[in-house]
Amino acid sequence: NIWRDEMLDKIHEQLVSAILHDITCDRRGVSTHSAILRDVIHSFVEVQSHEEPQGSVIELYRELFEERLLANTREFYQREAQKLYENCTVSEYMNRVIERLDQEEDRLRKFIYHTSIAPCKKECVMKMIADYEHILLDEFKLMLRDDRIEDLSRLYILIRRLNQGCKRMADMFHEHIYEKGKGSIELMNSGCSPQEYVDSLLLVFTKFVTMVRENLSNDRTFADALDSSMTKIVNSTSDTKRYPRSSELLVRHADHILRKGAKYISLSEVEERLRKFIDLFKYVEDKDLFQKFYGKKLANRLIHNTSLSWDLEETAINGLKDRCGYEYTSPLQRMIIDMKLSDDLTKELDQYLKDNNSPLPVSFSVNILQSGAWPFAGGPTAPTEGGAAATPEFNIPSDLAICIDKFKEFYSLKHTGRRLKFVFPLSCGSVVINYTLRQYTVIMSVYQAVAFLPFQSAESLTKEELQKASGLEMGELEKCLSAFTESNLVVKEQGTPDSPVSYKLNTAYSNRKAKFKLQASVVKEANEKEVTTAYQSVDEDRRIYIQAVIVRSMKSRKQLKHNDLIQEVISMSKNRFAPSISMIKKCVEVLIEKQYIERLSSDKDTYQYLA
Amino acid sequence: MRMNFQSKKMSGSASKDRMIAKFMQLTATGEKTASFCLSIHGWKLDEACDYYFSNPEKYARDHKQQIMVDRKKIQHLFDRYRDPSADVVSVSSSHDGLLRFFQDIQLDVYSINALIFSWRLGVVVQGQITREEFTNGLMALGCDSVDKLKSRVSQLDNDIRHPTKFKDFYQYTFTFAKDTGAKNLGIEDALRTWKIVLAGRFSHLEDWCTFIAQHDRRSITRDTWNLLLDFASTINSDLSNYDEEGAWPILIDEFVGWLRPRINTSTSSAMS
Repeated sequence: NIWRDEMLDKIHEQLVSAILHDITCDRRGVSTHSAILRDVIHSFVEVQSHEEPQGSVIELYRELFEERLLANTREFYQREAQKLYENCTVSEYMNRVIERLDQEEDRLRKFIYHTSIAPCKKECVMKMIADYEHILLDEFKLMLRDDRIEDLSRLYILIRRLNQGCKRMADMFHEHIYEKGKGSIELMNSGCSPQEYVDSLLLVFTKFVTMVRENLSNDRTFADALDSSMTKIVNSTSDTKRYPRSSELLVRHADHILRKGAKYISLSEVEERLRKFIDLFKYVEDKDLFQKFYGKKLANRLIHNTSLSWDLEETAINGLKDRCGYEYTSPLQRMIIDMKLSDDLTKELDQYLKDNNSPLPVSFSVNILQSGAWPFAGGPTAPTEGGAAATPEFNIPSDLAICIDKFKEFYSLKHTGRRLKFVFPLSCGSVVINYTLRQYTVIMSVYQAVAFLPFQSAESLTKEELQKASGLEMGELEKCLSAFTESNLVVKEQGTPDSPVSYKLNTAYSNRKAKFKLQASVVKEANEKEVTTAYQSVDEDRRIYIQAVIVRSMKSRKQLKHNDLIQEVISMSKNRFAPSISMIKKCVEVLIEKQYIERLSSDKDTYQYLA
Repeated sequence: MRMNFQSKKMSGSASKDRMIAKFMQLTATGEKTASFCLSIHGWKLDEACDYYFSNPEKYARDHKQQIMVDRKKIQHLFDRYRDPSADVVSVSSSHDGLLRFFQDIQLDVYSINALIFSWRLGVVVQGQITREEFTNGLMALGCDSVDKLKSRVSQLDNDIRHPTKFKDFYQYTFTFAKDTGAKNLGIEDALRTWKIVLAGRFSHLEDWCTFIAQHDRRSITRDTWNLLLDFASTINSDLSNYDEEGAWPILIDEFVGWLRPRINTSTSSAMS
């Protein structure tokens, strides 16, 4: 090859030096003969491709040119980086480096053979970014502290070019978010209101989710760092034996949103708040505990008719379903269906009464609850949750008795073979008061109404008289009387030596509202008790759940190694809670003792299902 | 060359004889059985023993009553010690047949040999031996007189020499020690039994007993009992190969958690 032997071999050194000199000039902003440069550089490749068109054509190119090009690039950008670092702030540095990188890319594409583009770029990245990584990441902390979001974007653009660069930056991101979240953890542990807790969480969450989306290109690594940090924040607990209060607080917050009578906020605002609520829900690990609380609050709203709208309830439930699946939310959805069916039922009842020309003495409506889905006990002898004793007896007032009988008649025609149990603790009645200056309608629980009705025939009654008339058990009667006196509807009169303590209607009673609900402090106690019961029962429920999973898995697989069984249980519980290995092992031991499974005698690490 | 050949042959048969003797001692069988089983399994002693224990009948080549055992004599022996009111030899306070029997055959009631004896007889209820257990047991042991029993009793520890046999024996002692109706074994009985059967086989036996005594568990499950033997046989005394997340019962996990710091302090103080 004449060209190679006569020309290149003799002059390649000077030729390459000249080329590099021109490239350097170009880098410095001095214009060059770009067409010539390109052709000359490519000529190294062409020479070889003429010789051996089939083989590798870049050997010569590499040997004569590329190596020196890379060295040259390396040196240039090392000096450049040094210069910039000494003369610029970190912000400016990053800006200039980005500029440089873009320029170099263009330049490379213009002149050199394509196989050199990647190695050259790598040199730039190494010298301008990798060498300064620790400085840049130190500055990252300050950027986060001072909300310098443009700098963040620039940093991201640079760091992502480094191998595992995003990971290192995301780890710092995770740390920072957790630090910010510590305030929320403290709030949670100090007994704050749900609103305070959620607001503090959302403050952190919204800020950083926006940052990931807008400044970090929605990069997966950073999104994951945010998620894992939020998970840590939401589930942190000071005492490993107790559950974090986040589930309880989030549910109470949702309850406020979904309840009637809140401050006047628009529908779209409510929906927005619900969306955020679901966003936070996904970080809760104790989803079974969450479900318990949510179910109770939902049941309360539905029963006492304090729900803002059923559509909104369904929206919220669908949000939960999206994260946890149909099985998780099916009792909740069932509750709403029951309410809708009960609505229809009431209309049918009215029609039935009309058709049979048997109107009821008072207006009357019934909600039928399917016993499995609602968090109240369904059986006739089982006590209701919240620690209340079994339904106390009382003398059913005649009006109420007529309604109940008529309803039973109607219902048994519609559904034969179903057993109805009237849950009086949850039922309420409205009592109209006419003995005061204004007429009032007071909504009270059935027990309270039953305790109040005897006043229809006498203005003042003793406890014993009230008990006789109402048939209520004394403890329950006393609760009602304290609600009456607390609200001032009734006044307690001191006894004299001749006559005992008596209760008298307060004819001077007045209230701003014409229609109101009778409050009672006992309700608050009951609510608190419910919360404690929920925490206490979660452990037991989890044990039962894990045992069921183990039995199901062993039944279908017949034999499983210990580690495989553990993994199976963890994956099957993922949507509800994160079981500890020690809890799983305890359940395995229980099942061995109960002879559902056994160890193989030849291999203690393998379990076998016992039919 | 000839001499070499000859001497090879001689040493070959001598080592085989030694192996037969060893086999007989380990398995309590006769010479024909031993030589048969060993020859099938390539004269590898351990392998042959394992195969024998998993299927003794397959290899039995000695006449079943090589030592002639008289069933009638055994029945008479039983009658000498039995309770007047029930068909058992027991510890009832009026008659005390069991204690007299043990004394006569020189078996220490509190020793491991007494447990091994019960195991060989398949005794179900502590404190009594039924006619069937007595008869079948003594037939299996090849004894029909007090003298034969005395000699057999002194060799009982051979019966648990092989690991498979010991495991079977160990697991039996759980059933034997607990109340017949109960599922689990009370702590006191468990500790007493462990001290007898695991002596010399479990480096942390003393620590284990201390740990159990101060633990709030009041009974031991069969699974925990059985796994303790695995623990004693496979776990290093510095606990380095113990995996808390493995298939060990929780009580043993707790023991390791309790023991680890104690080991570390004692080694560090030993070093200082």
